[in-house]
Amino acid sequence: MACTLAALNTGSCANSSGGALYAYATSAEYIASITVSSGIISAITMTTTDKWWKLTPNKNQTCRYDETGERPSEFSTRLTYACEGFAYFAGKNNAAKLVADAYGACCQIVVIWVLGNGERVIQGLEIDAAAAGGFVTSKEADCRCTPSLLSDTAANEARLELLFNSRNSLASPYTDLTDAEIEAL
Amino acid sequence: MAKKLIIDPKFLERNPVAFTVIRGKPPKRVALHGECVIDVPESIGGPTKKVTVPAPTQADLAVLHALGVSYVIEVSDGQESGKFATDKNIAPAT
Repeated sequence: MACTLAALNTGSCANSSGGALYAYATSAEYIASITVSSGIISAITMTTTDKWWKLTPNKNQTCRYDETGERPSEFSTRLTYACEGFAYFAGKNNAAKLVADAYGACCQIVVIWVLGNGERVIQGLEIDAAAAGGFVTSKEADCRCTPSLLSDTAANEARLELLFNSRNSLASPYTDLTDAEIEAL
Repeated sequence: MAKKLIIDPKFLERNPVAFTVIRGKPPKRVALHGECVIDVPESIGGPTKKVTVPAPTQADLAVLHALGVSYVIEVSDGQESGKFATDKNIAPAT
């Protein structure tokens, strides 16, 4: 295969603030189609309204979205990305239990992570122009949430931790939809 | 012959109820299957309420078309058939 690589110059001073600030989550079943412009998801069409829920975790520098490239061995041609998002909410109560149950029950979650540098990256779906709607859910493993409700000890903080795991064949797509646009979907 | 933009009837066959947002300030929610009334769930903004979501206008469809939304197609006036949104709102899907 002829490869076309890309140049990248760190001298361009990209915003490198780490971590994620907050996220929007939905179930993939509610997404009818996406539109891609210059590689970025520029429009989303839904099968119903008000199905994006905002997750605003504690600002304690733990919220993140990581995509770790993995090959079975360093010489393998097979590459996947283990995608992991994390959000931390102080408190352990019935409200947290209801959130945990709702996220734990959903088997094809899509999460828009708003990163510390302002970029918006989407976990749980991959662009696929050949598929109906222009996307498929994560090709290697759908995004699921594993909630943990921790009282911990009196020395620490009781909390709800939401861990989102998926596995992609390509790095996660980005969107330029704003908060207001996502919330209007 | 004049051209107009419509929602691809095949898209509406696959997605008989579909919504999207026309980008802008503020963004505008539109019902691709035609004007309809939705229940907005209870939130910090207030209790559950009913809201009318309009069908997209030609101007709205032009915005989607310019973005490259695949289900917005251009046809000659009078060529259209089937169910689609136009400037004139159509009955809500049941």
